[in-house]
Amino acid sequence: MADYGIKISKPGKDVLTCGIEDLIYYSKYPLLKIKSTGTGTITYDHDDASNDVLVATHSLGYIPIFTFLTQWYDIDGDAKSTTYRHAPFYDSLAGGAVVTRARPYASTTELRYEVGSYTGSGITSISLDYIYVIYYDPDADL
Amino acid sequence: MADYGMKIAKAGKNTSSTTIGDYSFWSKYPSLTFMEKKTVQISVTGSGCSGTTNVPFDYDFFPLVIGYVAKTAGNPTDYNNQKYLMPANEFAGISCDLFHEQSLSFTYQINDDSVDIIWSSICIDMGDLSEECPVENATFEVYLYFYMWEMGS
Repeated sequence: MADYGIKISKPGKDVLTCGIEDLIYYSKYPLLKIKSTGTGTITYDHDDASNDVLVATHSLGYIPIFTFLTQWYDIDGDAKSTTYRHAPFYDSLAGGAVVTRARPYASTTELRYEVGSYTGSGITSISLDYIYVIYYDPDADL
Repeated sequence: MADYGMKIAKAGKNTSSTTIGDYSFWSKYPSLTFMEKKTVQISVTGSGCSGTTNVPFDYDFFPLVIGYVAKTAGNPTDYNNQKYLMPANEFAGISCDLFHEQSLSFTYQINDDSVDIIWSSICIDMGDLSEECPVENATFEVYLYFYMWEMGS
């Protein structure tokens, strides 16, 4: 039984002859599967120090892929933005003296979030909400 | 045959639902389907600390590619094997001397038949802004995940 599975093509495309770019689903290839998702808040001092917090633990045994959205500190407007940005990102002004950075990262056991900002405005404490998704590595499915 | 396809509802949800979030799979909406992972090793040395690494692919369309990067060897070691989503900047803890500022950047662009990884790990002189390589070598791995989705289709 070498040739088996499911294909679903886009409307108007012949599932027997179309290219894979015209398939909505092809069971030969795995879908991206979610391991876990969640939200959190990081509170830190607005002094450009490194603030590194645990977001989530996992037991996958490898470094997973993930996506991360976070509220951020707008160094142009010198105020917290309540919109969500896709991280990582790094903004700087004045040769790096004014800065905001958001760097989530994953290890073999954890998803962590390192964040910092500074504008010299005298603001001391900032709280940012974030959303994360950890995926199973689809390469491990093959 | 206007209405056809396949639906799989989440546990406790009904396949008569019209809410996308109630489904694990609904063929009306394409899912992110993984095709291939390519891993590329990039070494930063005293004589080579920026460049573009070309990674060819063999698809007849412009695929969705999501890239991650990790420093796998080099000091400081406590930053090693941490995976960052690209584009990634200033993430590996590499230091320069007092008179230089470290600039680290890994990003990528997708071409018709390849992906270009554009990378640099340099020390910038804070006086004249000239650039030089860090003293210590480091090795990075870039992971490119190719998905079965024609960008813009």
